[in-house]
Amino acid sequence: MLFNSSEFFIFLPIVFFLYWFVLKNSFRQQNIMLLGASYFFYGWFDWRFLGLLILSTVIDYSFGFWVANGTERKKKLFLWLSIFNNLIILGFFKYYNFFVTEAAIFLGNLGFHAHPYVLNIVLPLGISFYTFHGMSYVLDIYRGNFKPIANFVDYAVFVCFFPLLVAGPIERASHLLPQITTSRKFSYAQGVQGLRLMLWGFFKKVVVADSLAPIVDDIYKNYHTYSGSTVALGAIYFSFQIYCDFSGYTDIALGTAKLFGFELLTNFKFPYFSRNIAEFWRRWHISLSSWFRDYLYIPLGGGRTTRAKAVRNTFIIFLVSGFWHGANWTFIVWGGIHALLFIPLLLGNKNRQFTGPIVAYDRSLPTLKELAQMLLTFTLATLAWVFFRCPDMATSFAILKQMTVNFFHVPALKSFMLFYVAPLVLIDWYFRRDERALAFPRNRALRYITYAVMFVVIIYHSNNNASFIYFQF
Amino acid sequence: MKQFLKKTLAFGIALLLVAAVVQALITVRIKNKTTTGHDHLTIYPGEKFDILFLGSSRCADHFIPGVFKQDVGLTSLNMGCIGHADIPSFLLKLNYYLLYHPAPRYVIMNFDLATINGPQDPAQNRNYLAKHYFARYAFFAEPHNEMVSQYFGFNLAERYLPMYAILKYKMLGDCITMKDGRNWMKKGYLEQGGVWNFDPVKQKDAVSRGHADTFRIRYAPIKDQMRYVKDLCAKNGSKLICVHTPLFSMVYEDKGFELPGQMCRELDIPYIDMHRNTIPDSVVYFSDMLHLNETGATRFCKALCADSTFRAALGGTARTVAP
Repeated sequence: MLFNSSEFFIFLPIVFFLYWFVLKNSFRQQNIMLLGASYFFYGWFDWRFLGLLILSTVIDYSFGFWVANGTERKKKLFLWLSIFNNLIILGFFKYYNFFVTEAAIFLGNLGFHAHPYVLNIVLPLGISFYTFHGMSYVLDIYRGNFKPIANFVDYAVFVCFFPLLVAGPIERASHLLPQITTSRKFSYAQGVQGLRLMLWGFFKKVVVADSLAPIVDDIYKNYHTYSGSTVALGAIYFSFQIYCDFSGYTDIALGTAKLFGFELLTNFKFPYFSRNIAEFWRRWHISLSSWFRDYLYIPLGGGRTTRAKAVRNTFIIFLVSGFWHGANWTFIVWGGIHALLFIPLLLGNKNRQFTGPIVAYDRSLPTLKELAQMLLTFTLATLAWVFFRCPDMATSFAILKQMTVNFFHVPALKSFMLFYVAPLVLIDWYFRRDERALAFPRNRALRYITYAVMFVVIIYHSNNNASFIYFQF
Repeated sequence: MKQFLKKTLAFGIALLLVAAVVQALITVRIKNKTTTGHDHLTIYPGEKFDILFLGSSRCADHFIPGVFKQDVGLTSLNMGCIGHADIPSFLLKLNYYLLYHPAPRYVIMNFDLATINGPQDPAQNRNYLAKHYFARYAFFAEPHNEMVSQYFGFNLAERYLPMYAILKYKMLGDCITMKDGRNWMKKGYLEQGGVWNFDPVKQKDAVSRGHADTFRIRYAPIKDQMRYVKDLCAKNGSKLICVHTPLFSMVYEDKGFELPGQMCRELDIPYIDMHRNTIPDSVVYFSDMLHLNETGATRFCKALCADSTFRAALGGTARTVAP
């Protein structure tokens, strides 16, 4: 079920009503209902993959116990078995075809003619997200950060709570499970905040991302017919499309969870206001980058090791992060570019330069230096997105090359910048101090008019019913 | 919780009320009018026309009622609509016409390979090019408007939430200004200005690919549908006439364009091929490869009115006017 589908607007009030009115006296019953609702939500896309989701949940739940109760040696064994199991599931569905095809090409280059058996299978929705939930659960138990949860339903809700099931945020057991295992109370402020986040999320997704999508598709498909300036504009549009698509989804997920009394992890903190790439990664898809940081980068030694190892670790985390997005060299190169942009900061000890509040936190406007830093970071991120967006490396390079042709011509399709991108940047700038407490007007009448106008604009743009980009990952 | 529900519901109800009022105002404004020149299902209620033109955009752009009035002395209504290249959609319009008007004496349908290329099965009709033009009929469709709701598959929200369909299909501006609709009401057809400046190779490729094959494969069901249209016309005392309107000749070169004529002969429906020797192959007369501009459409209509087969099909009703 898509958040931006009419089914969801029937599903959500029913679940909300059952949750707070019928089952309000028992959080256990609420959890059972949430689990059923989550399976229904997931099964609405394709019920055939429900079995895999349930199997993955049962296996990680069992490994959690085995890891907690085994001897030191067995703990390690079960941990690796759990990781292996998750990677096998992920690898089979997501990476098998990539590996066998690449292996066949490699063997072909060596003179051996291999005929790889390619699977004709659909990637189960959200597989990268729920396997990471499972892995973090077992890893946290292994590290002693968390004790295995006794109730299977509680654990299953943690893995597949419907707002975060298909595109995150990637939750941690230590953050979400305590909320699942205690009773929730409805809070007016939390409910209002949830609805506001949902409204803003829908606005970003339906109005901005879905309006930019056909323009981006056209420019990326017919780049050779456009001037360099238009292709560059297309790349900028894609930066905003993917941001609005994914952060819009996240806002809807966070808002929906709030309606049920849950606080999910933050995933986006206005990444395009970052002053360098290191800050960008502290503001973009935070739940994934922190997952890799905690479970991969730091165990490898992180940045507190020799320079050479720190560089190696940086490359590993960015390449793996790129590969997580999909079985294609373009994603790996996208990760590699970010690693190359990050390493100079790491070596110059500037990677933790901007760990505090967002730019111009206590001012209305940034300084010229900050503006230049933001523009540079955005430009670098946008150029890297070209690889992320293109189907193959050859197209990526062709698009970058095309950007240099007639770059100084007045670009076509620039009106979208005025109607969609510029207002979004201004609103984001206004909201930038707190990604959860969106600053709607204080005057009540003005506030409700703002809601109504947003509502109308969303409906006006709702004809696409497009899926979310991150569903494919 | 009470406060939350109260405020949320109050906001929702207020929004619905405002939407309902706006919907009511718009409904009154556009009643029995066309907003774009495509949504003319309920236009001129009660009025009697001699000819009803049915078909796709190649009907909407080509048949000029004024020329038929002048040259053969018959009144006519053009219900052609862009994006509807299938017989079920022609039937939909014919049924609407019969609901709102006395039966016409003639139903003239543009019937050729470049027209009959849409889905012939209404069940497949889920995302039609021109669905948005009909969004005005979605909300609380009157019993007879169920036909259009079913044809386009409007969903529950579109049918029962005020303003939802009009907003979703971006028709609010057209409903308010009715700019294109006024032009249609003035001219009686969808006038195409300008001359053709399209890339012929690209257009030919886009237009002709697979149409003949599709038509051949669906020959039998299309024939059944045409027989049904003919019978429906006959039942209402109308005569069905099919016309192949002009195309840029490079499209016509494709094999298979004789198939609709063959079908009409088999069904004993008068068929007039107005492609050949009617309009010179010049961009002066075309707005694109499939559509005539105003100059071309006028020349085509005059040629049709003077055509002996057409006059014979009209029987003795056509007024003889010196060309």
